[in-house]
Amino acid sequence: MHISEGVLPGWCLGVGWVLTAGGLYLGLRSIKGEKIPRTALLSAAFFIASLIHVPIGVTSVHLLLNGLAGALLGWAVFPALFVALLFQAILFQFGGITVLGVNTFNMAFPGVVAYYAVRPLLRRGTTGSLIAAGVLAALIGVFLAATFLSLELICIGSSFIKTAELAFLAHIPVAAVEAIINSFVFLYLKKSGIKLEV
Amino acid sequence: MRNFVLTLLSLLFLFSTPSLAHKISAFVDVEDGNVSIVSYFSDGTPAKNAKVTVYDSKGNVVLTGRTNKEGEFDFKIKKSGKYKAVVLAELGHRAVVDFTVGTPAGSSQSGTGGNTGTEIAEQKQSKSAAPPPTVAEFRKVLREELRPIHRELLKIEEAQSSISYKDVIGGLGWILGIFGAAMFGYCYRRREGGNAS
Repeated sequence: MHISEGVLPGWCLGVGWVLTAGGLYLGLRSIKGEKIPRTALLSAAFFIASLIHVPIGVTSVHLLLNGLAGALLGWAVFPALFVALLFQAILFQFGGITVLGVNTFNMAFPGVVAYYAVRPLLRRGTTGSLIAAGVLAALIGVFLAATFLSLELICIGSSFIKTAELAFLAHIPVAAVEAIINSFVFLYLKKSGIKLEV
Repeated sequence: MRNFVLTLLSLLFLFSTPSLAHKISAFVDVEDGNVSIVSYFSDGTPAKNAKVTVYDSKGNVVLTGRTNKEGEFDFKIKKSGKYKAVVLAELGHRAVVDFTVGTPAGSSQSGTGGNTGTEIAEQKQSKSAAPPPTVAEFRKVLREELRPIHRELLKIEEAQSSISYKDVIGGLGWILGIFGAAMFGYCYRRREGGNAS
């Protein structure tokens, strides 16, 4: 779900950078104390997740884990994913430097939405609500990112419905795998007595 | 449960192929102004219905089109010179390829390909005793013959651009380093503040 360099027009890249800058500001302000290593850990997890590929039909997709990172970080998901995406662009040529703003927003904003959506469930803290939170975070993270991608590709004249259909279909298995991973991570953190909500 | 998660993750790693789905590659054959572009995803599946835009050396759009089911797009260019083709596939994938029309390099390329084509055509002829093949048939055979070479090239390209574990470890190191520095700065500032008050 990384948009390649040179696909989007300049104004689209500009809007992406402005939105990402706003998210980075809010995120960096919220990072304090023990949240710093937590951000580092989820940033590293996101960085690695893109290397795990699931081949699907005409294309192949990879885990995103933006829902998980968002649920555990809140607005700090912006700096976490920005750093991870920066190194993915530099080291593996996924995406690129100019589209970094757009790609960061695509991934991080759904994470923030997931954070607000699952916060009540994480607070309740029963096994059932933690599993529900895991599933919800995966669905929001993956499908909202696919929606943003489809919206941006309207800029270059792609039909929204067609792109969205492709992106959604391709990412159903990803969302399923992430739902399982998220639920186990939440349950494990709860069992280890680590604070879930930030 | 912890073991279960670990097993799940290791299974994922096992089944995953280290291909770069973020990339598509494009190859060009030029023969007397007939240009054929073939585009593949990095796992070798053709990029179907991808938009192809051809630019001349000045950056003007010469023509546009879409690839067929085999990821191919054929067109004719009469004017010799340098051209650039941009292939744009679904979900924001993009590949750029440069080619020249009407240069010695192009003709020699088609020359070597032509030899294999003739051999194949001769074999066919001896079997079925059909009339001599036309230029169009030659081209078709030629393209079929070149396909494995394209695949081979793609494999080499992929091997070159594949992710090395050095890069992965290096990237992780960078991430931890950056946040480590942030942690250091945070603790340092808090200690300073504590001394002042």
